[in-house]
Parts: sequence; structure tokens; C-alpha cells
Amino acid sequence: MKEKHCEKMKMDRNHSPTGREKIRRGVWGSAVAVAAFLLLCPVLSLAAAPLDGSEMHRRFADANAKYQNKQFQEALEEYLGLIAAGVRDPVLYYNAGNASVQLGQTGRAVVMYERALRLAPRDHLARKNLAYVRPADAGSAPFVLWRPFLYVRDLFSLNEWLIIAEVVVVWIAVAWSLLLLLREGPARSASRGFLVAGIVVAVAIGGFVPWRWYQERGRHIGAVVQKEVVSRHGPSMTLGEHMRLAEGTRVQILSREGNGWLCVRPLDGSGAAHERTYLKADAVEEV
Amino acid sequence: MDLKIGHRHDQMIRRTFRIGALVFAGAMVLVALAAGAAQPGVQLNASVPQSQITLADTLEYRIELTGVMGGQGAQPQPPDFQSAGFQVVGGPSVEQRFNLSPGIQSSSVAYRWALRPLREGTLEIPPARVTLPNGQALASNSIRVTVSKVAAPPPAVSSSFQGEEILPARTGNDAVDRQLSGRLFLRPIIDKTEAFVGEQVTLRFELYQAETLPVVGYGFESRPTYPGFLVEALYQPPRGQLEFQRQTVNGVAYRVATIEAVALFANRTGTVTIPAMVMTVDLPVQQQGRRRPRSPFDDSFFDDLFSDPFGPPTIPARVMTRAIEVKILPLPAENRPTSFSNTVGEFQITAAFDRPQVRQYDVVDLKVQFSGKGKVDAISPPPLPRMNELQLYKEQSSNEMSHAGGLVGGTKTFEFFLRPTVAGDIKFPGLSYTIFNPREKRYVELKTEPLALNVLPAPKSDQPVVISFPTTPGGPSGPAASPVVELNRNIEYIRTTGFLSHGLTAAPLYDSLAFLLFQAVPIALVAVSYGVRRRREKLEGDVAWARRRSARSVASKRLRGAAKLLTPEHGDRFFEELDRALRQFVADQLNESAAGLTADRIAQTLSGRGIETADVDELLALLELCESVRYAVSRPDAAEMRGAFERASELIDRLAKNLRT
Repeated sequence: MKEKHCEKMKMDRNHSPTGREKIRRGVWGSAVAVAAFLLLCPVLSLAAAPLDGSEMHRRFADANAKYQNKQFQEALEEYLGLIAAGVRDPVLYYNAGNASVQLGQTGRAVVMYERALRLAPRDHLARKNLAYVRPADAGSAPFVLWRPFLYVRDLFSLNEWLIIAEVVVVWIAVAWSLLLLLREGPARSASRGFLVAGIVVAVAIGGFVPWRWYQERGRHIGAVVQKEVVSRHGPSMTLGEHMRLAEGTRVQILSREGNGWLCVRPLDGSGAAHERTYLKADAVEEV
Repeated sequence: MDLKIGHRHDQMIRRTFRIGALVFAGAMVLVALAAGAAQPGVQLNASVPQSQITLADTLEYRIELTGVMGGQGAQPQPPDFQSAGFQVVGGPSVEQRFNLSPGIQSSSVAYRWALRPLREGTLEIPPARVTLPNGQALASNSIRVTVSKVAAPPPAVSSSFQGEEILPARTGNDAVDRQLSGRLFLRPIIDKTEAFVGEQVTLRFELYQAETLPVVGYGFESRPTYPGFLVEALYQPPRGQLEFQRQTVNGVAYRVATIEAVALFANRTGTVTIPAMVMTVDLPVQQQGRRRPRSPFDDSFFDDLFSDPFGPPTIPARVMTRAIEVKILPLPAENRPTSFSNTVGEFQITAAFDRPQVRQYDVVDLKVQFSGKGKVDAISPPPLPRMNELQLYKEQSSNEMSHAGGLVGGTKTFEFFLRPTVAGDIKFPGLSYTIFNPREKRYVELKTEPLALNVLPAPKSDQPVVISFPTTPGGPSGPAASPVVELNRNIEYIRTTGFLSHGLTAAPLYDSLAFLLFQAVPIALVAVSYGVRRRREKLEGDVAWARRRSARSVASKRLRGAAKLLTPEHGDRFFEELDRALRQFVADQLNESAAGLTADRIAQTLSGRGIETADVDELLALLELCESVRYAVSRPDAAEMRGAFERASELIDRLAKNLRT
């Protein structure tokens, strides 16, 4: 019996794996690699966490306690300290915005709420507070037919849009693969429908990803953080006064001049105010 | 013959082109050499239009870098104007010219500054300097300018605006100033220079420019502030663009634009000075040698706006007003009622409840409205009579301003939310409010009619359970009124629990290596599927290829079956299985039927495929062994079976390898 087993072993050793076996091994190997990769991603992201979790929550609770005791300056410094330590969370930006409002720094509050909304665009509290601190005549409502698109664009952050796009790409890849592998029959028809649906969804959402990217990353947005700033027609105090911008007015930073001036275009206000103008760099904080 | 002629013709054309190209190239070389020979040196010159100015004048300082094209790219360093006694009020503006005439390739770059002297005396502007790209350093000439005290004010514009102090435009050039006299000026228009505290004073600044005067641009040197006044803007140029209207004064056609119009309400008594407004109006300057005959002044100084493709050089003309003094009178002390509200204007007053009947402990809205002319947003709330039957819960106000006819006015509405504490008919006495009417120069007492309010008893007990408030101002009231009134708007409270990010970082995902690597997953999925499909199609479409591909695995399967029979009692079945494995392997490799394979056919075909004779012989020997053992009387021993199995396995491996290559 032992002899028979040895012969069998020898025979197996003599036979190299066939093509089908190779494919099977390759598929299993790939699946294991993908699974390991997917498991590794959260581990890597945890490893990149800037602060120890308990320390982070303790400092957050401290800051909140200071806010409740009306020590707004101390609370703001604590929130900003957490942000500086690498904790990029919309709650921190939101609370820092609230502390700024309580200190009368509406410009900085606008910056903080905008940052919070970039990370959590569906945060209705941040949106409400932002509306509260923005200047009263902060722009007109967009054209009615344009609003649904703006709504959808602002429904998700850039990272959420990227994940949605990735899911759709995987959806299309899976449907396409099934279409390639399955023989004619109901399953193949279903996979064809699955693929068409994926392509339709991809076309429908395809424009929102670059649009959201442009909103968040493609342009530099800032807010006026000083009271009643007067802009100039050029990057010098010797040039004529151009506009008076209220604190909290959002501006698009077009360029940074070398001498501490910014070329900006106001985003708030009536249409007449949307011309390029120049501000001292310390009057604007970038979102 | 025709062909020959055509060929020669082509050759002639080609030769002519070659000669032409050589001539052109030679000409270009000569031109370049001539240009090099004629290159003048690079020069840096400084100049000013006049050497004698006053402290009030603006001096145009100009440096020009002229010479060959090589001078390009050099950036002149201006002198230190501050230490020379000048303040830079404009510039530098750059003007560049090229001369690309054959043999005279030159360029000039002019830089201009507008300077204002800081002190009187003879001031010297030191040389400007430049370092050329080839390392050569150049210096310009220095400039001497004599600065005198401000000359006596020029005569006022003699026009139809007699009695008004209108100052003429100043450029620092007397000849130009004379030309501009009466053609360009700023006119302040004030409706009164004596007013009561809180009374409206309307001030408007208008810019007059003769229709024939070409103007390039406008700017403000200083705009008046209004200390001692509350300011209400009546007019600002839309988008900062001046709106001109045509107006003829004493036969002179002007373009007139309102620069600013404000309503001023003094908040202190005495003489209040409104500072002057100073504007700069840029006028085009004619360049030498480019003068066109249709100058509006028929003067060498001005020229057409569009005469220079690089944009016209300009000279700034200062137009200004004098400071305006306004005497602010205190409100008369005599006959001043003790109930005076400090409100100045012409107003009427009305008062009404939002509903005639209300339930006890509910809230009723008393609206008191002022309307008329004056600074409505400064109206203080009217005092309410003390009444035990009505408790004041809250008050708020709103106003609507209007500027009709240049007079500030509108309405201001005070809302008093009152809560009746007793049931029954409540008589609300008329309100009294005293204002000062500046037009009639007397105090006026405004009165409202008494009001009646019917209060129904509370439904269950004396204490209110649910208080019904009217809605926010302007909204529906009565039975449909909202039960809740917002007392004070404020921001939403902070979040005290947890974070929202859920592991999503603020950095975009595309900056993450993991996300980028994941992009390969869908691509790999489709690629693998495509490969599998292609292989399957080939297997199904090419039987010979499919059999060859599967020959080795089929043989291995049969060998495994034979290995299970590797005992002497199963000897005949073992050799039968071994025979099948070998025959089937060869048949699959050759795409033939295993049943039809004879020894000769096998030997012939395998030899034709380049298999060594030893292997062919070995195969034939094994097949023969299988055949003989199957029909032998005696059973084969185990060693013989094992030997046959090993030989067959090794042979199949060798054949598979050799047939593949």
C-alpha cells in the first residue's frame, strides 16, 4: 500500500500542471491578492490616522466643553489644533466655524463652514450656519432649470463621487466579463442589460465627477476675513479703489502676485461685482 | 519627343528655383551684415516735459531705452524718486516700438512715471541705470526740476455757473491747462449749505467734459468722506461705469456724468466741512511724428485716440472741487415738547391691531407705522401707554427706504406683540409721537386714533397652556397663525458627539496609491474574461488544436487509472489501460482515430513530425508489450508492470515535449 502511494506521488511529480490547472491557480491567486488588498486598505488608512483615537476624542470633548463655557477663543484654538494635528473632519470645521461666529469672525467662519461642506456636503447644519454668516446680498439664485444639476453635484463630496464612479466602473467590468463568458441564453441577456444599464449610469454621472473636482480642487476659493476690505484696480495701494467687500464675501483666487497681493474675482454679490480685482493676501483666507 | 521637351522644361524650372533661393539667401545675408554694420549703440535717455513746476503739479518722468534689438530684455532701474524729493503717483507704464526697416533693426522701450514733488526748490532726479544682456551697464542723464510754491488758484471757470466755485482741470502744462479751461471740470451741487441736525442735505458731483474732448480713462485720487453725517447713497455709477448725458451750456456741448449723489443727515451741530473730490482724467497725448490733422484741439499735444496701435500715451488731468462747508443748526430749544422723540422729518403715523378679537393669553400684534420723508431707519420706537391689561411680550421693527425724487423716505413699522391678561373689551389709547419738521421749522405732534380690542376668556383655566402667537410680520394671522414665533435667529449649535468622516480622508482619493492600484481590477477582470473567451472559441473552432491541447491531460488521466490497477491480479486490465493511454495520446496529437492507428501509421506519422526513432521504437515496443501481455496465459509480475508504467509515463512526457516544439 505504501509502495502504491509512493508511485502515485512520483507520478504526480512527473506530471507538470496542465493549462487548465494553471488558469485555476491563477484565478485563485488573483482572488486572494485582491482580497488581501481590500483587507489591507482599511488597515493602511488606520495606520495613517494622525492621532490616537482616545486622545483625539478627549481633545474634542475639551474643546466642546470650552465652547459650552463660552470660552470661544480657547475652543477655537483647540479645534484648530486638532485640525493642525491632521484630523480632517467636517465636525471639527463646523465647530470651529461656530466658535468663529461667536467671536465675530464671520469671514473665518465662512471658510470653516465651506471646508466642512467640502467634506460633508449634505451637512444641513453647516449649510444653514453658512447661510446665516454670509453677507446678506450673497448672490442671486441660479436659473431654475440649472438647480437640479447643482443639487446633484453638491449632494456628494469629491471622494464620494470618485467612489460612485469606481462602483460604476466595476459594475460595467463585471457585466462586460459576464457577457464575454456566458453562452447565449437568459443569463447572457441579463448581463447585456446589466452592461447597458451600467453604461447609461456612467454617462449620467460622468460629468459630475470633473464638475465636482473643479468645484473643490480645480479653482482656489477663499473668503474675505477682514472687515470692509477695499480692493484695488491693481496690486498696489497707490492704485485706485475698486470695490468694497464685506467680511465673509467669497472670492475666487485667480493668481498670487509676487508682492503679497492676490488677483481675485468676487463670487458673491450682484453680477456687476464679478470682475477681477486685487486684494492684499492677508485679507483673504483660502478654503 | 514631347516627353523630352517636358523633361527639359521641368529641369529649367527646378534650376530657376535653385538660383532664386540662392539669390534670396545671399540677399538676406547681405541685409543682416548691413544691419550689423549699421547698428547704433544702445542709449538710455531720461526726460521730463517741463523743468519748472509747482508743488501742486504732476511731473511726467520718462526714460527711453533705444538702440538695436539687442537692447531688448533689459530692465532699467529707475532712480530713487523718494530721496530726490518726489512721490510716485502713477506708473510705470511701458511703451515699446520696433523699427524693422532693412538695415535699421532697432527698438525703443519707454517707461513713464507720474511724480508729484514733495518739497520746493531745485530738485535733481539722479540717472536711471540699466544692465544690458551682454553685461554692459548704462546710465541716463540726470534731470533738474525747479519746484515752486503752489501758484495762486487759477481763475474759476467763466461759464453759466456763476456764483459757483468751479476749479479748472490741471495737468502741469500751462498750455494744456489753458486749452482745458471750461472744457473739463467737476461740479459739486448741494441743495443747501445750512440745515438742521437730522435734515437731509443732498450733494451731487457732476463731471463736465466738452464733447470734442477725447478722454481715455477716469480714476479717483480722493473721494470725499462725510464726517459728521449719516450717509445714504442716492446714486452710484452702475458697475463703476460713468453714464454720460448730453447737455448744452451757453452754446457749449458737454457730456455730463453724475459721479456720486448722496443724502447727508448731520448728527452734530456747527460748521461741517466736506473734503474735496479729486479725479484724474486721462487725456491722450500725441506722439511726435504721428500727429494727425484731426486733433480736437488742432494742437500738437493731443491726437486721435486710436492713432497708436500699442495704445495711446496719456497725460492725467486733475479735476477737483473745493471743500464744501455746511452749517448745521441745532433744533430750536423754544417750544420743544418734553415728549420730543429726536426724530426729524415729515412723517405720518398709523396704528392698528392685526385682529379685533383675541383669546385671553394669546398674543396680538399692534402695528405702528411711520411713513413720509426723512431718515426713516433712525425713527425711535413710540412709547406705549402702561396698561395692566396688556403685557408687552416682544417688539420688532422693519423699514423700507425709498429715494424717490432724490429725497430719502419710506416707511418704518414697529410691531408690538401684546398679551392680554384679562378678558373683555380693552380700550387702547391713541399714541402720541413728537417730531421736528425741518421744512416748517417747528415741532409737530403725531397722534393715532384709540383702538378697541375684544378679549375672549381663556378656554379652561386662568393660566395659559398653549400660547398662540401671530406669525412673523407679513405672514398670515388669525386662526391659521403659527403657534411658534422665532425670537432671535442664531447659528445652529455645535456638534458634540462623534466624527462624520467615517474613514474618508480629506485628501482626494486619486492621491492614494491604493485607489490608483484598484483601477487595475476592472481592467484585469475584463482582460481575463476576454482571454478565456478567446481560448474557448479556439477550442471549439479548431478540433485538432483542442485535441492536441487536451492530449496530455487525457493521457495523465488514463495513466492515473492505470496506476490504480498496478497489481499483478489486475495485470490484463492495467496493460489495457496503458495501451489506451498511449494510443489515445498519439491519436489526439495527430488528430486521428485511435482505433485506426496501426504500428506502421504511428511510425510513419511520428517520424514525419520529427520524433526520434528511439522514442518511436519505444512506443511501438510498449504497445506490443501491452498487446502481448493482454493475450498471454501467465500473469505479469509487479516489477514488469511498474517498469512498463514508468516507461510509458516518461515516453508520454518526452513525446508531449517534442511534439509541442
